Amino acid sequence: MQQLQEFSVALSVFCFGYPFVMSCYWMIGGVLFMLLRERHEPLPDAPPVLASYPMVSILLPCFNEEDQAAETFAALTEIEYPNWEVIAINDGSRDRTAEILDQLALRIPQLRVVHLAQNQGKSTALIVGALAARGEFLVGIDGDALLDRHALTWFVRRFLADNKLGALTGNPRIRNRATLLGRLQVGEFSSVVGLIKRAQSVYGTLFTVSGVICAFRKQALADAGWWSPAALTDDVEVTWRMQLAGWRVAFEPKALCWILMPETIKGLWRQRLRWAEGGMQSVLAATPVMIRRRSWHLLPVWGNFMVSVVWAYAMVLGLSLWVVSNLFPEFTGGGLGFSAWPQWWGTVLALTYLLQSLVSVAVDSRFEKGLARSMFWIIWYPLVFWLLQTGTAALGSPRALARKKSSRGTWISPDRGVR
Amino acid sequence: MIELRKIEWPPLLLGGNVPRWRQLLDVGLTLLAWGVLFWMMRYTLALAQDFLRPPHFEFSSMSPPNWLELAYRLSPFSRFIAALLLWLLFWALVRRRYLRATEPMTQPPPLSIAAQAADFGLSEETVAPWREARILVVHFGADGHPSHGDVRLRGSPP
Repeated sequence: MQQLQEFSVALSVFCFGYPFVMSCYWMIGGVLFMLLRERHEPLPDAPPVLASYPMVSILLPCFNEEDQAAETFAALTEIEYPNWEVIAINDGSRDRTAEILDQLALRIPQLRVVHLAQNQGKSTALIVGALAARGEFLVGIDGDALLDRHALTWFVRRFLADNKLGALTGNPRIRNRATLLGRLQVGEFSSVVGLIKRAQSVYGTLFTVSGVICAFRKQALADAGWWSPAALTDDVEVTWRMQLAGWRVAFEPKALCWILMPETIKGLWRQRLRWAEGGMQSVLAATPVMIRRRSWHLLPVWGNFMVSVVWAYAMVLGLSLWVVSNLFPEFTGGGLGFSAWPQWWGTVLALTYLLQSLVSVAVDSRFEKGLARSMFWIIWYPLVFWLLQTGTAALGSPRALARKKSSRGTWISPDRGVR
Repeated sequence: MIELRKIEWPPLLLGGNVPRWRQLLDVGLTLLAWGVLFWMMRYTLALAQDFLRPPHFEFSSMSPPNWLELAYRLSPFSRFIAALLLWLLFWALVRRRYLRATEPMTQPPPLSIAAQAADFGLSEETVAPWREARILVVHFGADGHPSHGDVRLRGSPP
């Protein structure tokens, strides 16, 4: 019984300590990135004149996008970059997407359309798009994403300034803010995703370039082996292989893209479960290569991911022990695990997270006016959202382990929020 | 014919179709959540209030918190955080040239069509017309790889 009590205390320390330490780490990393890079940079709406404007090909994989096409292409027609094309890849859509794209190809000079004869999945759509692309630089966006007019300039500027840079991840901003879940994700993308990417950029390795807004050098993709049709999260997978191939990846916060996110619990759960499963699948695939090639520079990102998965299981175990010890105190000899009701440590964690949100608003506010208003909703993140992340990480990892290697990634019709 | 409307930037969707009761419920629940947090922090808030009201910056009606105990509780984590701070500072120093780079530099040669096509078992002759196509249909072999393409429309739009 004594050992169980000691184990329970150690579990509580880990469950509190990991998010507390990481929160401080991300804040420090975010501020360092801002001081080193962002502080001296122009505003996103005022990009500098570049020495050259190489051809950029935007890859836009589409699967049943008839409802979103008008907005997505309307945004693309406003792009301010002199040398670009967009390749819309229709992956065997069952709605009117093919017809709409063919119509648009006759009206938008930069648009070229590729129809895949059969539905193949996003990775294959991207591969075919890259084959048809004329540019050495590829920008990937989702079929429902609105690309900012200056994003291409910001991406190209970074590639021109670093010839070892293989990929860039842009700065996704949430469009739909009709409900609590939508507003919560506005804060999450700044205070969690934005700060993590900044902190990871400081030491030079990223967990992923976000598929919803990313840019690649073709040669780097070729060295990485292109996108894998088997990957659940094609973006995570290709990011790891690119870094293993010796290319750098980085974050370009001024390359903005406005995206739709789920606004139902079911939609959010499905999305996060896919991310968790895909993340584990990609990291497991990358691990033996990392060891074989001695790519130890990836170890911090690898370790962070693995510890976060262990943390998810520790949370499940701690909460289970708490329930059992409350139901059957005579068997456990008193309270075990940690209380599901936030107490001293819980309050410290919540305050730390609120401080993290304040830091992120300070760092990110140059990209979006009125971002501070999202602080009102952020209270839900430490109370509820962590439980969602815990659940998806705990469930996604065994699913990734059990997934057959021959399985192909498939399109998920996403929940696109409330209009 | 699909209509391309001018986008209002930033293109936020603020939920014109969400019922008023749901918006009020969201606000009410969120206020309640803040209330729970403030209730959990009631002792800390009372301390802060005591410290800030006249006489300023001293505890007049409450005893000061046990800073030593607080430091003791957080000390294992503080050491981790200090180590990570040093780690980040080290990399920031080492990588500052890359992080600050803005001037253009010589670029590696672009990937050739032949090399890219070969990655998927295709020839340059097969893929080159794809790059001139406005509308293209790509077919796949039994192995799931692209096999050939039919160019439906070439060149610039009319």
